[in-house]
Amino acid sequence: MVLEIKQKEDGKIIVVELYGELDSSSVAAFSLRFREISGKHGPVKYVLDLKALEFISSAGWTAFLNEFKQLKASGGDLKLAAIQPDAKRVYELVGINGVIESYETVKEAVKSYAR
Amino acid sequence: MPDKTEISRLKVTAKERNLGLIRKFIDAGMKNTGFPRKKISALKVAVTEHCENLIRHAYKNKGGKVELKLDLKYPAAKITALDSGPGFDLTRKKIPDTSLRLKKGLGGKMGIKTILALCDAVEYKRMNGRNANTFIVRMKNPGKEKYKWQR
Repeated sequence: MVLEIKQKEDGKIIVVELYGELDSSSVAAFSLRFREISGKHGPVKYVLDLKALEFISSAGWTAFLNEFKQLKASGGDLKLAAIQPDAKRVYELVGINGVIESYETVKEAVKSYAR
Repeated sequence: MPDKTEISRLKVTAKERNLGLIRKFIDAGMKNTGFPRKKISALKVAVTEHCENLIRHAYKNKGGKVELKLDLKYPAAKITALDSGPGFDLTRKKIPDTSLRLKKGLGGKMGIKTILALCDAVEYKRMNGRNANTFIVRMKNPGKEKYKWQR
């Protein structure tokens, strides 16, 4: 399945929705599109909405870490929302939960930026 | 619930564009066989991680073939991936500590860690110049799962 990426804004927070599967065959498309979006909005606060992301491999997690690192270095931030249960198991297993925050819903992730 | 062994095979070029096809093969082969989504997902993740490593490191993105054999004998499911790359025995690797790399915002080594943690067993054989990596998941409480599945 092809990876599809959509973007919307919730106040000053940019929500990037991912649909489909993210592995080494689609990771370049993700990075390119995400950088187009972050290039347009700058180092602000982002939420990746993973509700419709059906599969993610370590190549995808590495891409998220890269974007997170870049944003943090330039004053921005990135949080994850609605990780599917199978993906969440890997997110916790490899320890990404200690680096990038995640929330059950996009609403909660957006709200967490106000704290 | 099959009592007999069911075997399906897939042979594809080890290219990134075929990773989705490999996962569809696993999904189709394990559909309605009594294995829960968690176990099917573990095999999909493990085989994807293995094939990503194979494509990138063993075949160096030049292609080569990977042959998958899905062997279902409830309560165990195993997938053997056969390739002609250099010998690489995953089972001799320690589960890597990725915490230091992650603190620096770096990925890497996550694939091996994921495979070894998600599968109930991983086996390796080198035979006739080919690697045979087998990824196994087992139902821990098959009677209970069978009941749940049948309801």
